[in-house]
Amino acid sequence: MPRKRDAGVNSRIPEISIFLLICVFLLLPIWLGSYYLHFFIMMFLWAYLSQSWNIVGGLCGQLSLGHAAFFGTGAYTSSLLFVHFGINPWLGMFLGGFVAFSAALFIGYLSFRYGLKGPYFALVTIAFAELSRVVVLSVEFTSGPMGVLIPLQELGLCSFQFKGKAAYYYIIFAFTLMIVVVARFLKRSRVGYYLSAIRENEDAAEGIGVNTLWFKVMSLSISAFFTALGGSFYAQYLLYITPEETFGWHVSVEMILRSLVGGIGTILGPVLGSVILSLVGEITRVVFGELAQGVHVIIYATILILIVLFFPKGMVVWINERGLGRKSYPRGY
Amino acid sequence: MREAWEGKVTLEGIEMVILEVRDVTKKFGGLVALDSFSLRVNQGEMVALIGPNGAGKTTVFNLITGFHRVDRGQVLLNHRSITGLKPHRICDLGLARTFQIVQPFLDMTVLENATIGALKKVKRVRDAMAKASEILEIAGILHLSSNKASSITLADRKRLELAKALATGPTVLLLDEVMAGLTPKETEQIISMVKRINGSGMTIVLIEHVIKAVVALATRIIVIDHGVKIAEGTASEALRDPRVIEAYLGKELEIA
Repeated sequence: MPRKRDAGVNSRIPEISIFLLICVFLLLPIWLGSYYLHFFIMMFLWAYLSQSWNIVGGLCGQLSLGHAAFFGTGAYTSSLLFVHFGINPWLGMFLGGFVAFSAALFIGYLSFRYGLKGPYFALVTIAFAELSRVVVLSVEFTSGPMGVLIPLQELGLCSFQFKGKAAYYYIIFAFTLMIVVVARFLKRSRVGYYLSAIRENEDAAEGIGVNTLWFKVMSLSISAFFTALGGSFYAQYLLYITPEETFGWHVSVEMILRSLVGGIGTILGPVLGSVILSLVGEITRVVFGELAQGVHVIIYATILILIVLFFPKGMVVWINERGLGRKSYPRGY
Repeated sequence: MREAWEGKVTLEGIEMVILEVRDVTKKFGGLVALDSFSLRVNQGEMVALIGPNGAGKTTVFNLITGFHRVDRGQVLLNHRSITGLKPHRICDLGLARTFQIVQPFLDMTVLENATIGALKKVKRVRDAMAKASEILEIAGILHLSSNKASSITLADRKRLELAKALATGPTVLLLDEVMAGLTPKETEQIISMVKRINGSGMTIVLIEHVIKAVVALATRIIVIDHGVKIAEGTASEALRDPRVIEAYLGKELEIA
C-alpha cells in the first residue's frame, strides 16, 4: 500500500514554494544586468550537469569521476560539426548527445561486464576522460590546444546565438527544469527502484531479479547523453572552447561537488547544491578576491569542508530528515 | 500470488521433478567444493540440506541460482537447463533465494525492499507496492513497512529477506539459514511461517543448522560433507545414518 498522504496545508508548502521560485526565476532577466545573468546561467548550467551526473552517480551509485569526457564530447561535437560541416548547432547538440551515449555504452559495458566497482570503476572513468582530453589536445581536426572558435552567425533561435544573455538564461533554465523532471520520473518509477537496489546492494539486487549490468550501463549512457547536451550549450554560450576548459578534471569534480553538497541521489539536491556553491564561490571571490592572491579560494574550500562535515548526506536529505519536506512522497525530493 | 504458488498439480502417485541438479562439480582453485553432486526436488516438496560448516551447502545454492559458474554438470528447472544463466534470469524463471548473511537494501524502507522484489512480476510501482504489502503481511512485518531496513532487528531482517524472495513470485524458494541466530521463540514463528508457505504449494529447499527446524519442516533430508552427498532420506533415517553421525554430529543424536 502506498503511504497515506499527510493531511493539511503544511504538506503543500514545498510544492507552492517551488512553483513560486520558478515564477521568480522566469522573471529575473527583466531586472538583472549582464553580470548577474551570467552568474545565474552558470549556476543553472552546473545544476543541470550535476543532476545529469546524479542519474548514474547518485541514483545508481556508480561513482563516475570522468563526466568531463561526456561534457567535452558534447561541446566539441556540436562545435566541430558546425565549423567544419555547417551543421546546425541544435542538431549538433543532439548528435553530440548520441556520441556521448555511445561512448558511455562502450565504457560502461567494458567496465561493468568485468565487474569493476566503486574506486576501480572511478579510475576507468578518469582514464577515459584524460584519454579524450589528450586526444582532443593533439589532433589537428579539433585544432588542439588552440581550441575552437565558433564564428558569429545571424542571431536567432535557429543559429543558437542570441543578443544579450536572457535567451541563454531561459534555455538553460528550461534544461534544468527538464532534467529535474526526468530525475523525478526516473526515481519514482520501476527503474528508480532498481537503480536504488543496485546502489544499496548489487548482489541482492541481482538475486531478486534485477538485470544489474543492463541498468548500470543504461544509467551511465543516459547520464552521458544529458551531460553532452550541457556541453553543447556551454560551447554555444561562450562561442569558444578549449580542451582544458571542457575535458578538464575540474569539470567532473564540479559536477560531483554540487550533488554532494545538495544531496547525492536526491531530486532537488544538485540544484540546491549548485545554488549554494555558486553563491559561496561568487561572494568569496568578490569579498576576498582582492585581499591577497588565492585567499578567496582558501575560504571557499574551508566553507566547502564545513558543509560536507556538517551535512554529510547533503542539504536536501538534512531538510527531509527534519520533516520539512512532504512525507507523502515515498521517495523524498 | 496464489496463482504463482499453485503452479502444477501433482498427479496422484506420480512425483513431478521441478528442480534437478545433475552431477554438478565445482572447484575453487585446488579445492573441490562440490563433487558430482546430484539433487532432485519434487513439486511441493520441502527438502533440507544439512552438513558441517564448509561442506558445500551454500555452494549448491550459489550454483543453482547462477551466482557461481558450474564447472561440470547441469541444473534444470522445470526440465529446462538453467546452467550458466545469470542470477536475474534464473529469478525470472521462478527460482528465488535468500542469503545466509541477510542482504537488505539498508537505506530503503521495509516496504521498498519488498517492492523491488514484487516489481519482477508487477510492472507498475503502485501495484507492486500493494503486492509487497500482502507479502509483508505473510512474513509478519507489515507493521514495519515504513521503517528503514537498517533499523530493524535481525529476526525481522530474516523475515524481510524471505519476503523479498517471496515477492518475486517464485515457484521454488531456496532458504539459506533463515533461522540462524534467532531465539527459540523467533525460530518457532519462522518455522510455522515456512510451513504455511509450503502448505500453499511452494516448493522449498532449505539449508539449516537448527536440527529442530529441520525435523519439523523437511519431508526429506540430504546430508553433504566435503562436497559429497553422504546420506539422503527422511529425518529419522538420515540422522541415524552412521556416516552422518560420524561426519557431522560426532555422537548419536537424540531427537526429541
